[in-house]
Amino acid sequence: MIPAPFAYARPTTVDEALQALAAGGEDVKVMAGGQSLIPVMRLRLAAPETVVDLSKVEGLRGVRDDGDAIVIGAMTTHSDVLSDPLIAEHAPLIAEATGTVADRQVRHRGTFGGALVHADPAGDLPAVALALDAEFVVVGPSGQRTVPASEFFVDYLTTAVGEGELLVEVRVPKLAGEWGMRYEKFNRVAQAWSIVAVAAVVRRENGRIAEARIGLTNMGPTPLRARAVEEALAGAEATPDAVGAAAARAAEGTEPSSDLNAQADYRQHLATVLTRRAVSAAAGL
Amino acid sequence: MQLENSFTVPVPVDEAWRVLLDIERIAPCMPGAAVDSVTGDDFTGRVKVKLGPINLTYQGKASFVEKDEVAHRAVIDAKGKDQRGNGTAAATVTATLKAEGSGTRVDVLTDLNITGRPAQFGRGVMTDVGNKLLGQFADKLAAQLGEGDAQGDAERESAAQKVVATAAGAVEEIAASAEQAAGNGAVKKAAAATKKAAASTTEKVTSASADSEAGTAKAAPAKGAAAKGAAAKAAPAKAAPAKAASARKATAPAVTVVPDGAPTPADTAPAAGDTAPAAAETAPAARDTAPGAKAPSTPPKGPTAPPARPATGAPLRSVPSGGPARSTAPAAPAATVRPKQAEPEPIDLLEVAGGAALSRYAAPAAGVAAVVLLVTLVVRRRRR
Amino acid sequence: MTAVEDRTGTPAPEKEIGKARRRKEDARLITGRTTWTDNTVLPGMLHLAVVRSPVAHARITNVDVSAAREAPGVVAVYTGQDFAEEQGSLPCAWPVTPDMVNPGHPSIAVDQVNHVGEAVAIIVARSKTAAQDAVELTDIDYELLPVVLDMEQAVQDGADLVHDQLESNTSYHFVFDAGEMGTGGDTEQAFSGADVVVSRRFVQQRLIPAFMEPRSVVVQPQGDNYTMWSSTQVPHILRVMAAMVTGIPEHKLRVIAPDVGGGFGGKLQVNPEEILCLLIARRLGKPVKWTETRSESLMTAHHGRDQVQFVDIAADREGHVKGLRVRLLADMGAYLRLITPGVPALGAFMYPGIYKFPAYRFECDGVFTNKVPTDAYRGAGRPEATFAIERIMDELAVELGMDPMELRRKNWIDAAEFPFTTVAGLAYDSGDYETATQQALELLGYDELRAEQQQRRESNDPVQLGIGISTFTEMCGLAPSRVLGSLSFGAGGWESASIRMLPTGKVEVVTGSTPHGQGHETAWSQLVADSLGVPFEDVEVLHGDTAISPRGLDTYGSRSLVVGGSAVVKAADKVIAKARKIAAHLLEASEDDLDFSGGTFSVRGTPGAGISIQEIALAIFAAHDYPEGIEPSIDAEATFDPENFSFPHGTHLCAMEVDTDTGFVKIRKYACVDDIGTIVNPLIVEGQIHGGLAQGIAQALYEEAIYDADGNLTTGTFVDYLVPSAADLPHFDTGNTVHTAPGNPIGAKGVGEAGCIASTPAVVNAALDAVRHLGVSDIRMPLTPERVWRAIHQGGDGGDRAAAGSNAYGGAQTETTAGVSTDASSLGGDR
Repeated sequence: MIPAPFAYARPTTVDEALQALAAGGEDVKVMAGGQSLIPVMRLRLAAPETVVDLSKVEGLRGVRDDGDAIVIGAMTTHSDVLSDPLIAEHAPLIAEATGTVADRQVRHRGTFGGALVHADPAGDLPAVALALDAEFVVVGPSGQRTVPASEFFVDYLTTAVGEGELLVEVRVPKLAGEWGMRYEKFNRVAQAWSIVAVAAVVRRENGRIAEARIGLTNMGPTPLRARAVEEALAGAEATPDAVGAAAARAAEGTEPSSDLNAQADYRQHLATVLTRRAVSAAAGL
Repeated sequence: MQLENSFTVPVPVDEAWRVLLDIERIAPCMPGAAVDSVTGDDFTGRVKVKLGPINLTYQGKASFVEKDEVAHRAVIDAKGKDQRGNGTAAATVTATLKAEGSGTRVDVLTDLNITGRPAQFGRGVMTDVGNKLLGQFADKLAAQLGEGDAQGDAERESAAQKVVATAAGAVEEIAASAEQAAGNGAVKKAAAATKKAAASTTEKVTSASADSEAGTAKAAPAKGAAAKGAAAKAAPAKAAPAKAASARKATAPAVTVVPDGAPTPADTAPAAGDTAPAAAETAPAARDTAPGAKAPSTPPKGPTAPPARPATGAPLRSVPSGGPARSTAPAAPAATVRPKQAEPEPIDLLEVAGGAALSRYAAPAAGVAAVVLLVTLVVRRRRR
Repeated sequence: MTAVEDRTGTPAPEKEIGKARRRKEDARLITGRTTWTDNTVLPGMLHLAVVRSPVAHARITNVDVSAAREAPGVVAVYTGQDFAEEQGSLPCAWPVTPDMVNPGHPSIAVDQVNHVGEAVAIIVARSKTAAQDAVELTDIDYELLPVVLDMEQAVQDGADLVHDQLESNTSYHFVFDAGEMGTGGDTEQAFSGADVVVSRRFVQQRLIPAFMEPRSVVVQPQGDNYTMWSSTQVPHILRVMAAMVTGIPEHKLRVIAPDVGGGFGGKLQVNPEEILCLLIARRLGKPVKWTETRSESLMTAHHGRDQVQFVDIAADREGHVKGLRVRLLADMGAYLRLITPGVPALGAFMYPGIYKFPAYRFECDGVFTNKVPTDAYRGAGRPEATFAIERIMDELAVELGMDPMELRRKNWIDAAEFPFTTVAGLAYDSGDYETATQQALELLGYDELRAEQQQRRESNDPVQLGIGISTFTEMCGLAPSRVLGSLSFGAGGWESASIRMLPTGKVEVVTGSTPHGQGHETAWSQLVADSLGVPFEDVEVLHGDTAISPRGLDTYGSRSLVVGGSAVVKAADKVIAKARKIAAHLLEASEDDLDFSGGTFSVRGTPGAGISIQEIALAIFAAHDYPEGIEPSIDAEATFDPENFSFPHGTHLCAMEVDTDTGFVKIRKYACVDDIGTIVNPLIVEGQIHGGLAQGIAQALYEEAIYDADGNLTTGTFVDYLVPSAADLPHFDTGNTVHTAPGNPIGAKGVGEAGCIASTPAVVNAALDAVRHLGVSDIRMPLTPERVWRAIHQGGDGGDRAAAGSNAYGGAQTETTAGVSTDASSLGGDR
């Protein structure tokens, strides 16, 4: 299928990219890896006036150590993420979730930042970013700002990145202490989107769970934190019973959609099961 | 798919009925819609839908196919085609009005039919969008009907506007502070909880809102105050955050906002959970704690508020929903024909979400607050 | 997989037949360095884009294509009106009953559309891009008609009609009654006297063939001649049919199927676009091309299955089956395509399976709905039949409290009883069910798994284990022409081949059986190498072009090797016979004294005197010295028409883990032993079994074409139509027993569909076996985790997959609703 005609810009610097966005007309789309944008354009559900391709923009790809955080460039591909030693050391959860994204071909083209800004509720990385309290560095015509993960995801396919702005990098704080992580994804075939998934980040201290952060994928229009579970786990004993009791609250406050993949009540049930599994694994149970 | 929306407006049924039949006022209630021409009971126009990268523009016509004066039942048939050949959208909207106390209960049943490519996906996204769209339509319709046919009382207007201005100003500050409010997460959670509760019955709403620490229908009040002021649009947006913030922090700012606009509390509280916010208009900020809880049980009453009636149906009316045309409307009251929008504003999902969220989750205002907060933040950033 | 490895470890056999040769065509197919239809570029070629109906059922009230006509690069735009007089109807070659109702099938809708995706206008442009852009400029108005989707509702009195000129939505009522046909006893009597009767309703969901290469057509007009390239399984059938539909004389039409990327029955069709390309090329006098998108393919290429089966089985308390009764509703879709009505009828004879039923009755209603037509899909009728019988045998075993394998043993045909004529009148050729079953049980490790199952039940493990059985047979080698005639099929079932001996001794084999990925070139080379004693590498196989291979009936129904391969062997025999005369002449010996072995004629009793068949080829090319009274050629042609079907059989066993917390099912182990007669190439057989298993398992677990309440296909992309990949499938433990087929010279039975037919019930039976103790007796296919979870925790069969949130079975209430509620707003589905 062939997309409708569009203008194409391939800037080489962030400034050029911002200019291209500003000059691109009413409907400008940023293309990172193109793994979601190109299909909808080919289906002609999207027909942007201009596509700004970031693939040649310098400095957006790669992972660096920045003291108390690691910084992942927005154009870092999923396959780069999978093989990156800093991610493996400080945020293995990202690699674990990234390994479940689509298939090998997609992971070679798709990018970390692109997946986050696309903000598909069934996408795997948003919930992970939420659970890791990542920060999003966004640049625009008026400069740079940093958005916490909790404010980044606004609605279906909608983030705090405004028109004319770009996500340039994501800062993931390094965690101190005895942390365990797990991404539990539930889907029907290997390359499919998540029906529901749970990202768990758990800190243990003296046989207790000192702190837990739970990100839920596809349990609403945006990724969510399972706050009730987090509260129940804080200070709880690291036992299957305690984890199970806390996980039973995973669906509290969620309003997942019903579609061909699952009805809402089933999604809510899955959230509790997957949360139990993810937390148990992250807590080393 | 069939979608149902219900709400109560504080105008007599005959008056609401007259408004309902006024195409020029009703058609623009469809979010993202622009009316191109009106001929008798038929009108043509466009609806833009935007969802992330997806853009659809449906162009078509609509007409009243039934106007049952006795039953107060009107049926609008709308059909449109996507400009890129992506299929069609058709909706049969049946609105039924029933007198309820001194107000009117409105049931809107929409049979929405989407064909072509957008229908060829198993993910429920398009349906959710349709749902939100209709939710917002109901919001706006509620606002429109709530205004009744004589929006024009000048005094009333100016009074309302003054209130609004104040509210808006105050709220703006609060919103700013809300931005930093750590409580955000909690508020969101509360919002979620309340959303869910709102979905069902009144008593659920009650308990839910009780849970949500925020307690309350704040957006509504601002709205009520705003009546239909130009500020209405901005005001609620900010007001909500105010509440959110207040939930966690101090209620003070909210309180300041309210007094002016706030009519006497007590009265309202419609029967339905969804209308709870309407109640809020009455006792807004003042009661950030338990308000919603009571609201539902009392039958709706005409608000006692100050200058005439504070555009109450308003609970639903939401933040961005207004759009430019709308914001001017109040200023140019009554008979004035709503200025037609030259180009339809695309339905930004933000808008849809915000509006729908308000309408759907109105009662437990905490939910509203969270959503609105997000919206506000984004909107501000975009405008920077 | 293992089996292959084992085989490569054994010393290569001397004969080519039985050798695990790597396929000679794969290098070009896998790398794409070959000619697919869409690669074809001709000077001045125009491109088509089809404007399709977005609605399932409507009258076309206005078609405005004026803007599209003005668009840059657009040469012409046609609507149904433009071809109303000349397009005729797409052919249906299988009127299963004399009074079958066929409403006719226009290639492009003229005044009414009956399914989403039906062509309503066609853009012809200088580039594909220009054509696609112009699609957006067309404006078509529809007056909606009530949509008919549910077969059970569609057959009710007073139901809305798909075709309002017809009296009902029923196309035909097909009956096979063994009592009436004299092949069995009276069914009603068998049931009324039975100790036990078990009745079930099974749903064969609609599937999409999902071949890898989308359909593509190129037509080049040259004077009054037309050449059509098409990604089709059936160039020969297509030529005949296209000639009849368009009136282009058959001898003026050449059809070429270049390399074709899969079909699974989905390209056993005469497609609307093939006819339209011919009509447009004729009108414009220019070459045209149409290639579908994946979305078009899923939406408009024919689908498969979609039946509701009502199955009753009668037995005595000891477990001897007494009777079988099957009533089907078969979804035709909106029209009858090439063999749409015949698919369920083809299955009609297979419901009794491998069991000795004394009585059997089959009835089927073909029902019109506003969906894309169904037609052949891997197995075509037989997977449905096999599923029904293998599922109901398990249900009967449960009812009787008997081990399901013991019940099967009690009733299946013993090895000594072959050939065996079944209650459906088929003569099963050869086999040994017991041996295949024993081997399969060992491959699976049946006893250990049963022990583990017991242990998991006792410990109330959240992950339960089940074992499913499918002891199946099917009919292959389509088909004896006389039998097809008796079933009113519009063609025969023979196959043709010819062999050309080239001067340098190389061999060209021309086959009428057109491959689309099966490996004909390799297998035919092996056959000919053995027959003629020439090197494997010296054989080239030509196919798929009606000018090169003028006679043929193409590839479907596991017929290629059994029928087409047999024709090749027969042709080789003729070559040898002709060469023998030349050899006798050149060797100055009597024909009777010649031995032919290893490609060489030698004179018995005269060591050293001999001539190879390749030398004879050169000699006869020169033709300087050959006997009087014969033609100077050893080329030969043969046509093979089988006397009977062949009947592969086997035992498939599946061990399934069911996570009762989530409903997720995972195949723990899969073992199968198939008897497909002689194995020409074990590697190809293994590939066919693996691919077939993947598709059969996919029906059980993953695939389902779902229409919403308005007739939109909501599984319109591969995001929603889930085709599994290797990552989702288990290791397969495969094995074979060999009982050669007596009906053909090779002894092969056919393997193309076996895996697909056998596996589906094994998988479903396994899942049910895992959770039956939890009160579950049926789960609808595909076994989505949600359905399994609901069946376990809420009862029922898991229900429809329609969601309130999707358009399907629509109905959502906004949360503002208070006090207003309708049935339609409750969650869909019949759970």
